[in-house]
Amino acid sequence: MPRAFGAGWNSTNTASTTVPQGHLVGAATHIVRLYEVNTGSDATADNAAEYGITRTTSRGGTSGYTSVPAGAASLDSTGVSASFLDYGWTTGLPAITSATNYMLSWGQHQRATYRWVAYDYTKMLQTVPAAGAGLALLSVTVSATFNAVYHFSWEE
Amino acid sequence: MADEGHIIIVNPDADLARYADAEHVRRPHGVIWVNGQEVAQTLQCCHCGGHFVPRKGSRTRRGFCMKCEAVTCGSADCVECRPWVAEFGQNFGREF
Repeated sequence: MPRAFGAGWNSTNTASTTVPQGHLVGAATHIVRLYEVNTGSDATADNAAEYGITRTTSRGGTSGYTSVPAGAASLDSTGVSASFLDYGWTTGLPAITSATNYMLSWGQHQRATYRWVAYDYTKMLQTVPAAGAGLALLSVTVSATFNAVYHFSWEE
Repeated sequence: MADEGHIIIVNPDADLARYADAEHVRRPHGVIWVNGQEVAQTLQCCHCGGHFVPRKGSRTRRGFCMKCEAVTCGSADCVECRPWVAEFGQNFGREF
């Protein structure tokens, strides 16, 4: 039976098609299914950004990034997840499948909050069933960088 | 799904206005809220699994797969019938 997890993080949203803002990846043969995306900012200046979610084929190196602990007692009795939410790379970038074709893309003002939810379990954004396959959140364009706040909810 | 070519906006109110042409769909595959207000619904491409916002008068060419009986995003990669549910080993069945 699928188990649900969530993780939040924040990052300066410097535009890049190679360095993701965040990377949700399953371990071994675990498929992750993203069903909710929340984005916003804790700053108040008037800037805007465009984001996109694309697939990846590997988690990248074993270090050079921060990994958010996924799972909570309220969601899963063991609190253990076989998936990872990575961000803040210095080295060991994940392999992005495409920097131009997105599974979901949106533009957003810094003061706004954006939320996308899949309608049901068949409509989630899924990774391919391969080791290390994941979903990367890219900051495609920004008018001026700011601290962006993200939250992903997913099943595995 | 191809990038929809969003424009950069510098007015907070424009976040709502940008979805003014979003088309209502009877059976949405995803829902978008901006500032807590539902502004658009998304459809999922049955071939690549990506979501897109259908927009009235956008002239964006989408598709419909007669085998899957479901919409496609219109990308050239998604013309051929390769359902992502099959490629991913998922068997949800037909569109419902």
